Amino acid sequence: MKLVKYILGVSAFCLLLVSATSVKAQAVRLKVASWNVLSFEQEDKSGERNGFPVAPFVKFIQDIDPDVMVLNEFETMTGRMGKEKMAELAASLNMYAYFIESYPKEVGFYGNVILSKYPFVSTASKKFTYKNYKGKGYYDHNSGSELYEFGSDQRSIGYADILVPTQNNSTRIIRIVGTHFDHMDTYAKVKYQEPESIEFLSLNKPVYPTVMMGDLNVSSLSELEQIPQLCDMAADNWLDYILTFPKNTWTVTDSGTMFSGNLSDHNAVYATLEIK
Amino acid sequence: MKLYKKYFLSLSLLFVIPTLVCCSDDDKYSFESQNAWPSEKFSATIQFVSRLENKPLFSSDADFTAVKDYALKTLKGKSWLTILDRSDRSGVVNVSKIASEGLRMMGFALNSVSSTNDVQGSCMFFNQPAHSILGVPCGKNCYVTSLSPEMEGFRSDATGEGLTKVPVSFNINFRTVRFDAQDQIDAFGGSEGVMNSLKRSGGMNMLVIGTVKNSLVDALTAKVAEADPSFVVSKVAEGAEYSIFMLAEQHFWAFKSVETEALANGINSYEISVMW
Repeated sequence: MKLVKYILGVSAFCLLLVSATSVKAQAVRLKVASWNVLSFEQEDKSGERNGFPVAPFVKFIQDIDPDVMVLNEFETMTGRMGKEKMAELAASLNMYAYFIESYPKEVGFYGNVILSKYPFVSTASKKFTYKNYKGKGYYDHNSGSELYEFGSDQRSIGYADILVPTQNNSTRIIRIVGTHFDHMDTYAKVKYQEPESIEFLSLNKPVYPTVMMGDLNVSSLSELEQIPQLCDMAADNWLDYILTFPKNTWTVTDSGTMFSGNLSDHNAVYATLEIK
Repeated sequence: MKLYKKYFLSLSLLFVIPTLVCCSDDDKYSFESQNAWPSEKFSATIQFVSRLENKPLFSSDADFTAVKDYALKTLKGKSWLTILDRSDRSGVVNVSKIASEGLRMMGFALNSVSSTNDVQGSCMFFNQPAHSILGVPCGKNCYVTSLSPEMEGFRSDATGEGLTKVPVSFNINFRTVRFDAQDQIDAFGGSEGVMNSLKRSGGMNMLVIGTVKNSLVDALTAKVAEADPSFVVSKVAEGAEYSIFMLAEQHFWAFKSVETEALANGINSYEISVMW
């Protein structure tokens, strides 16, 4: 009987050891950041006057050194930009990049960007429900009842499923989400953008561990109705948030705000996250 | 003829005629009965840049300059989809520079990841943002990537002055993949393989252009025929180690021709003309 108990004890210990090892092997550590770049105009409009240089933005991002970053208010390929700005940033940072289109401009596009040091397996985006008082083909400066219901501008959400290294030199898929909610005091966030985010990404039961970042244009997460019930907040600054899904999955080992000075009216928010 | 007989005959014809005219075995438009085949009247060109060897695309500054010059000189009227095969992780900076200057939107198709330091894949250029680029595992170290780019093709209309090319554009179901090993092809084919799964989810009209090891071309052809004999594998071009193949359902797409141009140091451009 003593021998049996001994054997059972040793077996249980070995099982625990194996489980702990395999859990650690899948562990991921990721530094993430989110920043509204004001279309590279800069607060004093010097960016606009000088051809929208990306160099100071590259330096700022390099100082944060994120593995993944979401950028909001991103304009590209327009007449005034003159280049595909996402690719220009990606080249300077040596990062993969995905453009989440909100709407086309007369020439070029406006939206959000996901940057990543790690490769994309899949990327996808969706435009939120929107109607402009002028009708089809208009995407900003809404007015009247349409403004109150649908918000000022066409907004969007997108994700990148990235292959992230784990501690045992394997890989694991993490979903990074970038979005930008309506900036006016409207019904659009709660009626459309929040539920459509949940549905598009299955945030109530995510396919992969998910990090959602962006300018949500709320002073407090409690202004939203459903998302706060599904996530943990990793970091926030003013209107910008880093949220993790599902609840109780991620650990925040570091977080903070990077003051952007004249570069933008938003500071960058960052967090270092771990998941077992 | 008595009135009631005339009446009865008319009534009978009223039921019989529709049966004769409308109802046949083909009332569901089965593929066996379709008369339409791809026609030279409709055509589009896809750009494929590759070494067709087991090497990254860029090995020197000269390689980058040659590919960039080709990409920029062929912007107008030719390029709506450009695939830079094996641009890999090491080529992210180079492809981003080309996209930035050429005002092309970028997307990435993951081919294989054998370790976090060895990420192989293709960069794709489009003229519109890609709303969805989805990678599906296919055997060991292989992904089939699906997307719906806006194709820019031509319809040739016969006019008094001969043939006039009229621009035509619509979104297509496009896939790309690289096959290195038999197990990847086995996973692709078969009744429940990746090919049939993509066909069911995306439609019979999918167009696949990718690369396959030269020694596996026959195996791929056989596996595709086994999965669905209405799909045809066309060998577009053969290189030192790999071939470019096109795969499509024979009623929707056909391979028309390829124009090859040596760019530099073993890198060729292949302008693949397809018809529908």
